[in-house]
Amino acid sequence: MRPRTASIFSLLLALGGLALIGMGVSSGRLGSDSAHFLVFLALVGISLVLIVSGAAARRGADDDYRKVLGTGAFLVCSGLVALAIFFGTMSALISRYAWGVLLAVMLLLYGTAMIMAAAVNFILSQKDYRVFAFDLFRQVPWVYYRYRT
Amino acid sequence: MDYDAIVIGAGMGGLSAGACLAAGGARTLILEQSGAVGGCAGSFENSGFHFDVGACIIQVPRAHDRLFETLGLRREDYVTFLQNDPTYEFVDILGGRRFTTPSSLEGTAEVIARFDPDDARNFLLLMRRYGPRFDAFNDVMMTTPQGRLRDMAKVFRKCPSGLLALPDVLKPYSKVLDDYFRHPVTRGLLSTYSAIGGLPPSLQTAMMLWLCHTEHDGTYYPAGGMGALPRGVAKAFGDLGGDLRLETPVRRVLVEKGRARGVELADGTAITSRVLVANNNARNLYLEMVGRDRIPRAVVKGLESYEWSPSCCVAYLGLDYRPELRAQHMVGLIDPGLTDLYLKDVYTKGLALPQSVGLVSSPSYMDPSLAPEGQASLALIAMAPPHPAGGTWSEIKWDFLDGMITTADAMFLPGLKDHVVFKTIATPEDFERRLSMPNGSIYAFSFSILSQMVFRPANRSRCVDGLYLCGASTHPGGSVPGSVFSGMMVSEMALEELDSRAGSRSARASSETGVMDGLTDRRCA
Repeated sequence: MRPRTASIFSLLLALGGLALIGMGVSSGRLGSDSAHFLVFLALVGISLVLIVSGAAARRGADDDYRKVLGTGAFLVCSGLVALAIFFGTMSALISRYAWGVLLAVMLLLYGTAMIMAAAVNFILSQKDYRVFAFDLFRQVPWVYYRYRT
Repeated sequence: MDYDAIVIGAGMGGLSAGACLAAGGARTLILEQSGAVGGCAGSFENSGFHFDVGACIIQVPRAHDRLFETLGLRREDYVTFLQNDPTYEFVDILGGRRFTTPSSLEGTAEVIARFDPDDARNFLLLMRRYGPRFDAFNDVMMTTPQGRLRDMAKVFRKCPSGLLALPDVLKPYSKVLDDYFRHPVTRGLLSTYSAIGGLPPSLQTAMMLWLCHTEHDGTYYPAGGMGALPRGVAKAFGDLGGDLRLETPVRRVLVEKGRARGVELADGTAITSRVLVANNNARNLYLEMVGRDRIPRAVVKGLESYEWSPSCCVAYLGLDYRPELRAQHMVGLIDPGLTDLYLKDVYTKGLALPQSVGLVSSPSYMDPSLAPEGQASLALIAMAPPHPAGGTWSEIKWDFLDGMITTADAMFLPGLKDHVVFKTIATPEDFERRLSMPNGSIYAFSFSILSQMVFRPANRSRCVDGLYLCGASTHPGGSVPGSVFSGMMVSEMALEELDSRAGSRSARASSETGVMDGLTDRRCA
C-alpha cells in the first residue's frame, strides 16, 4: 500500500473506531432487541471475513511483518468471535435484555481494535520506518520481563 | 569472608572491575576459567604468529585512559597504543575500487568528495551537527549504571542535551543513509558502522553515527597485540594487590537468603566474599550458576527473551610474505541493501557463506614483531550463523576456512592462498566452548533499542543482593570500551556497598561525584 493511501486508510480506520466506541457507549439507545441482534450478527460476519482474509494474507505474505500482521488479525478476530459466541449463548440463555450489553462490549472492542490497527497500519506503511518499527513491535511483549532482569 | 570481592571472568569488564576494586582497597580475587586473560579481547600465539582472538581495534581510547587514571596509574607504563592512520582500507566488492580513510573527518570528507561532492558536504554536516550531541549523550549513557527507570532518567538529568538526541535515537540508520547520501560507495562506507554494531542499517538506530564520529578522534592498536591491553590491566591489578587465578572455572554462585556469598569452583572448593562481580554472560550466570529456582519467574522469562547478537567465524592465517597493505584493516564495501540481505541469509536462514568475509585484519601490519621476520599474521572475519543449516560447525569448519581463504584471495589480497603457511579457524561453536559466549555472539545480546539500558540485565542485580554484572551482556553492552565502562561502574557501586556495610563510607563513596563523573562532566558542561 502506498504511504498516502495508507494514511487515508488509517484515518478512516481511526474515525470508524471512534464512531464504534461512541456507538458502544450509547448502544442502549439503538432500539429493539432485533436491531441489536442484527448489528451483532453483522459484526460476527465481519470478523469471519477478516479471519479468512487474515489467513489468506498470512499464507501469501513473504515478509515477516506481513505474516505477523496477518496472524495478529487472525487471532484477534478469532478471539472476538469466540467471545461473542460465548456471551451471546450465555446471555440468550439468561436474559434477552442482555443483548444490549453484549453489543456495547463488542462495539467497544471493535472500536479499540480499529484504532490500534490504524496506528499500526500507518507506522508500518512508512517505508523508512517499517522494518524498524516492526522490530520494536515484535519485542514489546518482552519489555516488562527484560526490565525485571 | 575469604575476600571482599570475587570477580568471575577475566575479560576486559572483569579485569577493569577487579582493578578498580583493588585500587579502592578491597581484597579482590579474579577467577578465570581459561588459561589467559582478555576473553574476546585476548591474543594467542601459534607457530610464531600472533593473533587477536576477536576484538582487533581500540575505539574510544579515553575509556582506557580513564580506567588507568582511576587506578592512579599511567596507562603508558602498562600498554602502548599505536595509532591507526589510515583507519581502514575499503574494498568496493562490486565496483573494484580501493581507497583508505584517514583518521580526520575532513580527510574522510575529501575521500567521499571524489565520489560525490554533495555526499562529502552532507557527511561533514551530519558529523558536525550530530557528532558532539551523540558524543555527549553516549559518554553519560555509557557511564551511568542502569537497573531501574530512575537510572534512565538520571542519564537525561546529567545530560539534558541528550534529550535532543532522542528523535535521532528513534530513527533508523537506513533513513539517514537514504536522506543524506546517494553514491553507493558513500552509502556502503557508512553502512559499515551499522554492521560493526551487529545490526543491518534498517534495524540499527541513527546513534551509530556516533561510532563514525568518535572513530575520527583516533583508533589505536596495542603494541604486542590486542592481548597486551588485558595483560596490562591484569598486571596493574596484580600491582594493586589483587589475586588472579587462571584455569579456575566457577561451577555455581553461592546464594544464601537472597544474597551472594561467594562461589563454588568446579573442583568443589567454596570461596566466600562480601560482594560478587560477574563478567560472564547474564543468562548463564542466572540460569546456570545462580539457578532458575532462586530467581523470580519474570526474570527467567526476561533472560530467555533476549535475542543474540551476531556471531562470526575468524580465520587465523600465517603468511610466508608481507602483503602490501595500506591499513591494518581492510573492509569489504557493499550497498546497505545487500548488507541487509546478507545478514538475513546468514542469521535468519542459517546459511554458512564463506564469501561473507567482511573484514581482514593484520596484527603484524601494526606491530611487525607479531609474526616471524618477513612474514605476516592475518585474520579474516566473516558473518556466520551460530547453528549452520544442514550440519554442525565441527563438520564444515575446514571447508568453510578454505572458502574464506578463496574469498579473501579473490576480493582482498590476490595471490594470498599460495602464501598460507599456517591456518586455523574459530567458529561460533568454538567461541561458545572456549570463551563461554553463548551462541558465539560477539556482543552477547542484540543491540536493538528494547535490549539496551534498563532493558538489559541490570548492573546491580535486582534479584540477588551483593551481585554485580559487567561485560557484554549488561549495560552498556558489548565492545571493549563498553566492557571497560561496565567494569568501572560496578566496581564503584560494589565499593560503595562494601564501605556502607563496613559502616565507614569514605568521602569518595559518599560523594555525589564518583569515578565516572569526571568524564561525563567534561562532555556535558
